Amino acid sequence: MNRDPLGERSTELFAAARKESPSEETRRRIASALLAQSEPQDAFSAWISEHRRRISFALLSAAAAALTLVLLQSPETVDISAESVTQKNSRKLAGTEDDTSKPTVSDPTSTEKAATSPKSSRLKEQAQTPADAAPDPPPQAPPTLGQELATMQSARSALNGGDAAAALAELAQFGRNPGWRQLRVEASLLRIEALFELGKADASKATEARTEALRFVEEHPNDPLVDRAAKFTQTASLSDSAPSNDSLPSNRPAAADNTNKSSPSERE
Amino acid sequence: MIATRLCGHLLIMVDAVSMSSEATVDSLAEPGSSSNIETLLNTHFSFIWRVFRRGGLCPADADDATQQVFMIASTKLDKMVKSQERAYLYGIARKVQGRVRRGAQRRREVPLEAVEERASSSQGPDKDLALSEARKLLDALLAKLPEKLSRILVLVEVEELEVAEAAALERIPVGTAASRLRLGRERFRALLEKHTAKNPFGGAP
Repeated sequence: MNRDPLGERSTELFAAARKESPSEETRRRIASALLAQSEPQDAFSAWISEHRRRISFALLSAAAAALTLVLLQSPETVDISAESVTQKNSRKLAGTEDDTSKPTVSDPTSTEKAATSPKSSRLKEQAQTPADAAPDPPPQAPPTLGQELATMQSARSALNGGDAAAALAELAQFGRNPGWRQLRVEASLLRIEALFELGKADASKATEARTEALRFVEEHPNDPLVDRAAKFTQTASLSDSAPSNDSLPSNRPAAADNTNKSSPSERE
Repeated sequence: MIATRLCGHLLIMVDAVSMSSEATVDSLAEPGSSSNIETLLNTHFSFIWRVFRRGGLCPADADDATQQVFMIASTKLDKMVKSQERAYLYGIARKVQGRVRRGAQRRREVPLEAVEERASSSQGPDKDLALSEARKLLDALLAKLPEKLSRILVLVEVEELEVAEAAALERIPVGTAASRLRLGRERFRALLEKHTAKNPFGGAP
């Protein structure tokens, strides 16, 4: 009978593997783990294990929704914080300017008119709140162009309707909030117009309109609206019986040139 | 920081979902089984553990993997068919083995030789040493075979199953199992012959 040493060796190897067995300690450990897993299986745990997949899906959905919210809110938070910093800085700067040179809603006539409309009442409340009383006011989001345009239109309609004080109250937004800056130049000119209308009955308002117009010409010498502002300086000067061209600042030739190139009537 | 933690929790949950879904795929769903997990453990514990050992896991990893198999099985007892419990456990074991292998490769741990061999001392130290050397050689040769050949070889030669039983566990036709067994035996013999030629006095490669 032929002997097959390789076959015998293979059999030995397989038999050696067959004789290997796990330790009893391992079996006991697994048994105790299985027992511990099955013991706290009350009704709630059974429900959890039964609906594990649904719960996992719900948790995943909630986490995704939370992540989306966080991602959506984060750029807005940055904008708001930047705006609040801008507001704080401008408030420090405006603390001196607003009191002296920018008559806003503190004008008694304008506040009375402003109380007639809901928007004006809101403006009045904001105007009555002192800037330094609240150390950390809630940051306001900058207005959209549409909001500024709507304010301008309401001010324009009030002015056309003969209510110059209400127009001034509407335009006070631009002087009070630094975020209102997209139509600030146009609002300045409209404010001059409103002051001019009030100046027909009140000489102090006429002077104020002229001062504002002069400042406009100084600050915006190359603006397309400078001609209209210059017209108010001339008109105000005429009303004050003062020479018109002399009232223009001598160091602003561009403004004077613009004024000469196109007359206010042409622009109108 | 929050996003990192969130991603970590999501990964854990996705892993849990995949574990349960894999187990469900493995299940031979016929509700109404009255299997008891302790009976399952006592009956198939050694078989599953040896499958892991011959699959190349060290004893410690084989212990952990076996525990995972029975923990998964304990949650799916109602879906287990009584006559096919071993096939069900074997199916779980194959997936767990792949996962444990990948984890071990990521850890890059080298199992300690002293811990690896926990042979019973009832047969004496010489016999234990011989058995240990034989198992090391067997594992080394099996590792050189393609996995599907080594699996069928282990089921038939080590676990002494019939070819049809091995085919049922592997979920392949009997003819395919027989073909793989023949090929596996031939290659194993060739590897053993080559090893014996290199090491005439025995020993693991």
